[in-house]
Amino acid sequence: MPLGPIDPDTGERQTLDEIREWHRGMIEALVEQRTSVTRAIREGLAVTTRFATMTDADFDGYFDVQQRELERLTMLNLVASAEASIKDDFFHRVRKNLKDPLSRAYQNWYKELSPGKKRRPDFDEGGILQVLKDVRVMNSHVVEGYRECLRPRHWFGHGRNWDKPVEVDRLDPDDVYDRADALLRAMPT
Amino acid sequence: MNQSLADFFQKKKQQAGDSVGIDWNDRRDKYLKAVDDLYHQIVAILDEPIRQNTASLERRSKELSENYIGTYKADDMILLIGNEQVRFSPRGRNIVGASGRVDVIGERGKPEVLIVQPDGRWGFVQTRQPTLQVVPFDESTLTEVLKRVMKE
Repeated sequence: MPLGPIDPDTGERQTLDEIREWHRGMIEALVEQRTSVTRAIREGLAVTTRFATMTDADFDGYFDVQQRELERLTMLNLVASAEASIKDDFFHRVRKNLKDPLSRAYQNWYKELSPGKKRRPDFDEGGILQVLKDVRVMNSHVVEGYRECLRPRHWFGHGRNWDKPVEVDRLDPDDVYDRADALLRAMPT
Repeated sequence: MNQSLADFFQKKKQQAGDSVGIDWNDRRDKYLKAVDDLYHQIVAILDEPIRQNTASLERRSKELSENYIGTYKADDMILLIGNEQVRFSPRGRNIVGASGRVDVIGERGKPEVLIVQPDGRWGFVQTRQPTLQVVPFDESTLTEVLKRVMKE
């Protein structure tokens, strides 16, 4: 019976907290760089040619873009981290044949999947999250809150070559952290 | 003002150190003078076509706003040649790696950039990356830039 691949030896899993700490560190570095270049403009000091000939407005725009991209990458990482945790938990419950209601619901759903889907089961619509929601082991708004993060996650992760989902500008890394964290905390043991 | 706010302001003043002494009005005035000098050089270079009525120049006032300096007036210089125009447009004094910038904008849209170099002379930016390369502003480089910003 095919089971999804888990390779703990080469994986580089990140926790939500690690991603949030990385984001905070990068923001501090950006602010530091912004301060340093602003000082260089004021005092006529040399800076890297990346910023050469920029005006105040160019410079503000540059940092706004850097911060926005950093936020998007962070949101992608947060959603993906929670997705990996949910999938790991799913395969654990199926492999170990656990007896709690969620594990049984997963196992019943898993039995009906094709061999290909057994290796890579759907995650969102009609997938693991749907089973998780239907079995009602947690408040459904917790699952829905996280699912709203998936549309921007796909947009970030697949080249952004379709219309920008409205959630992209509605969510920020703190929102996504809270939603992903709420989902993982609500998972039954 | 409470002590905490006073202490905060005092700390900020100490952090600012030497830069507190910058005379921003003086910087603005020197920049506007440099722009004026540039325009006089352009007028001198284009003297012959202007006298032959193949080109004309006019100034149009606009406002610039910059951090520390605030809002002030500067002139765009418009070069009219046939049905086309090229605009020399001041972008500001506070420029990374320079003491002022003027963009040269033609009908092709992508501006060429003039900056005030450390020696006070104007130069066209040829590349920014990997290194900043600037060629002096003169009749020859102006001609090349006009060809680049204008339609064929």
